[in-house]
Amino acid sequence: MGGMDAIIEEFLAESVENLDQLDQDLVSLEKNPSDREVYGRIFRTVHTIKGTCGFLAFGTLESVTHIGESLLGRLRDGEMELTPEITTDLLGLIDAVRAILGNIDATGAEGDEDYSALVARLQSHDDSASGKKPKPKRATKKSAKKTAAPKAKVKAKATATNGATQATKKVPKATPEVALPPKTGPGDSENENENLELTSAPAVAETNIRVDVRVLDHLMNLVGELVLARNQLVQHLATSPDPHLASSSQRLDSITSELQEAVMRTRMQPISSIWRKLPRFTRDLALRFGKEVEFEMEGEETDLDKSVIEAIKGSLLHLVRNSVDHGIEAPDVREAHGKPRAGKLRLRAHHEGGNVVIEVRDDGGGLDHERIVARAVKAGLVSEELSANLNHTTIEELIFQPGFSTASEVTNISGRGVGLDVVRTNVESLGGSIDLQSERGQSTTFRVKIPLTLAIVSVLLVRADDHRIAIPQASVVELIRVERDGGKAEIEDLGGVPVYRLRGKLLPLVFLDRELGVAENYSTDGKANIIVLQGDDRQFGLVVAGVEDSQEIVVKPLGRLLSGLPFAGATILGDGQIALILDVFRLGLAAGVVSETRVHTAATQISNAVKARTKTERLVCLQGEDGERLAIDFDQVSRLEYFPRTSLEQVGHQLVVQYGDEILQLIELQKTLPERRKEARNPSDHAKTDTVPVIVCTVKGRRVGLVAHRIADIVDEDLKARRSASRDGVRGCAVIRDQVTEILDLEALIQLADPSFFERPADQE
Amino acid sequence: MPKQFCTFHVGDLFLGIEVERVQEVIRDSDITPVPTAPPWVRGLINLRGQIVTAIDLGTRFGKTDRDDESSTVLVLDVGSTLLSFVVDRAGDVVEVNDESFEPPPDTLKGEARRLIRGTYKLQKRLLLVLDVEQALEIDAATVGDRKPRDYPGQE
Repeated sequence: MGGMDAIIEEFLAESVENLDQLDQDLVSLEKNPSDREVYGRIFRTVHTIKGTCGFLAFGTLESVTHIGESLLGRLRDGEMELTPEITTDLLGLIDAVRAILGNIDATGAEGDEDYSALVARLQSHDDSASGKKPKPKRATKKSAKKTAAPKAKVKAKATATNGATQATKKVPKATPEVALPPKTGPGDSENENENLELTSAPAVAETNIRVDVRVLDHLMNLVGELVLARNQLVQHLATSPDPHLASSSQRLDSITSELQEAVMRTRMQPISSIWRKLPRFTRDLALRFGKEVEFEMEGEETDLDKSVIEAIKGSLLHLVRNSVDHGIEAPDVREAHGKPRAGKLRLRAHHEGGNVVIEVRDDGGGLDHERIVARAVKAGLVSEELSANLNHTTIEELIFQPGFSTASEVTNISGRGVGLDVVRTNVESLGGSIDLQSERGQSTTFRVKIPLTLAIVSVLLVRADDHRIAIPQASVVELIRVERDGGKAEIEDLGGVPVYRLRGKLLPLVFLDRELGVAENYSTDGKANIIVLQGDDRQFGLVVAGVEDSQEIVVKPLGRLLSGLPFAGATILGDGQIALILDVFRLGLAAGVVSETRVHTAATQISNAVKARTKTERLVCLQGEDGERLAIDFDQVSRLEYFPRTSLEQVGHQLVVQYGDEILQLIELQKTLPERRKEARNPSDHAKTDTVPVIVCTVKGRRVGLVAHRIADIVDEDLKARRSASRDGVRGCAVIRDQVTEILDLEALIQLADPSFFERPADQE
Repeated sequence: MPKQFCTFHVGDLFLGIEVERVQEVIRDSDITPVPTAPPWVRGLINLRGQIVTAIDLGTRFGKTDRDDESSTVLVLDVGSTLLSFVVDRAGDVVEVNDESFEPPPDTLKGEARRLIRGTYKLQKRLLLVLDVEQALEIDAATVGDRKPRDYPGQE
């Protein structure tokens, strides 16, 4: 009995592998229907399955594969031509075989599904072929029109048997290439076929063996240990006077390194192991959406760690789905835009440093910014007012926001409310990143960057008492060394919360030793290190006693018993000691500097996300009445509001507006900034619009509103090209988007408008 | 059928685990403490590249008379992972007969009663059989919340 089980197991493993190949072969056949070798391969696979299952007494499987084999035989021998209908049914056959094999694997039996409809359809194809056997001989040089005849026949037959598939009508539209006659004469190479069958037999299989991943993991562990032992030995022998010993140790050294690399490689797999499924997947999608899609892949041989491949699979499928569904337009629309009917979907993978970059590119319509903004407003991700002033980057960020993908567009495949936000979360959890480039009307490219392997992470080692803690470099924003006490009190206490003023922003601080409950053991020179960390969407500073080193480490899981702690895992350092890997988010959560429920507005989330990846300054650009450009630091802006002009009130010499429960003092930029030109402004200009854009700012804990003519944009700019100020109330000038822009100095501006503003208590108004 | 037990001492307790469950005994293991961990976790050990949690059996039994400095561990294969128990001292492997098995004595109190599956009468003394699964079945209710801080997401 055991022997039988082993045979079945082997049969399953072999068949499943072959089926994946079949999917790919059938789709490629549609493009190039004359590839005899491929026919031969498909035929052989189905034939093998049929033969084996007859022997193992799987009746259903045998009956399904039998008819498939017969049909494929005819196709191979050129007795009939491949039509989209036949391809669909053959793919259906493969699905059926896969389902049955799945049942056998799970239960040992074939299952009760009824495949008679499929068998009948395949039979009808087979019959129609035998009825017109001599035909293909003449089809050689005929145009596409001619070949439409047998296709029509097939369709009629199929409909007669059982209503056929609903897809039938869409099929010719989706893949017109298959209607072309084969380039080589179908009947003229029978002998050649036989030869091919013999010569192109599976040579690959003999150089491969299947290995359990656990075995590889074990090997990897052992090699890690060997490396440690080698390190100790080499260190020891470096001082040895014996030259033989020294040379042996050198050899051992290099061999161990090589071995380590080789073992690492065993875990690598080419990305084609997941891409293989994509041509079929895309074809099915295209059919369902009534699109025409040409699928291209480049860099299939790019190697990735097995675990990364598994983890990235779902996201990749999602991106492809997204491109076919939302990216590539319907054929008629494409034609109207002067593009070929068939859209192009291109996958590209390559190595870049220690990362792998995977690109999913379609030549579809690109992102429709208006629609995205409209949908974001509807979903409540941005306010109506703000939405008019979003720049491109921000808009493109929107599609990654949770809740952006709405259920209103539920199709069979995408739009289930699970959107790109999930993809991004997934990619980021692997230590990678995703971004996109889109050109309106031309293309959309998603670019996923992931580390080669999950097992190895770059960390910063820090000290807390005598514990060594590893912090993932991905979370580290920057390092600051400060006086702990001493003259300048750089660490301030804000209502019991320690903070550090980092470039004018308050950074909440967490003390690592206090969080871990270990002894405070700082160096005696009164210095402390602050590591600025990115925990979720907030930054905070981690105060540590000492920073040791940056290292590449192998992450090992902590057992179930330690799952609740602020550690993501542990690692073994070069000296054999264990270091714990900090879970930054959880630590921040426990210390109360990162909030679990994301209550922030989408705007701040987006700005943070953008900020995290760009080291630029973010500015709100305003337009003055004279068309001059002004800008204000985004960090000082609390909100952008539009007030009806009638709601503004003049109280004494101040302009105010009711804002929630408070009265907001307004500063009119035009009146406040020193005039540069001689003529007085025409005040009627000012009263043209019904609403007044107001930038609500917070300065020293107090709010003030700036009245601008127009809020132009929010930009992220590298403000290198900067000049000194030319008038009061202005911090300096910079070129932003090719325009000279004055950057406002808020405090100076308030001083100009209302010299006593900061002296009055806040609640006076 | 005679059974073999790997014996060890925790405080005044003389305990045993079926010998086939014990993968190895390590004296003088290097245990790295884990800050914020519950008190019954002594730390982590590096077992040939694998990181193994060391559970302090003395704390688990609520023993005060145990050897705090001991670094002798018994490594156990518990299904998918390895775990280890820190004990005061490892003893010999003893052979016992099923006939001499008895339920835990009434004199055992508290946590110890839950952790002992039964006893074997040896010539000179009683061997208490440790219930490994119970010893690993640790939740806040039985051990008490002695963590320095509650970490969210803890089940």
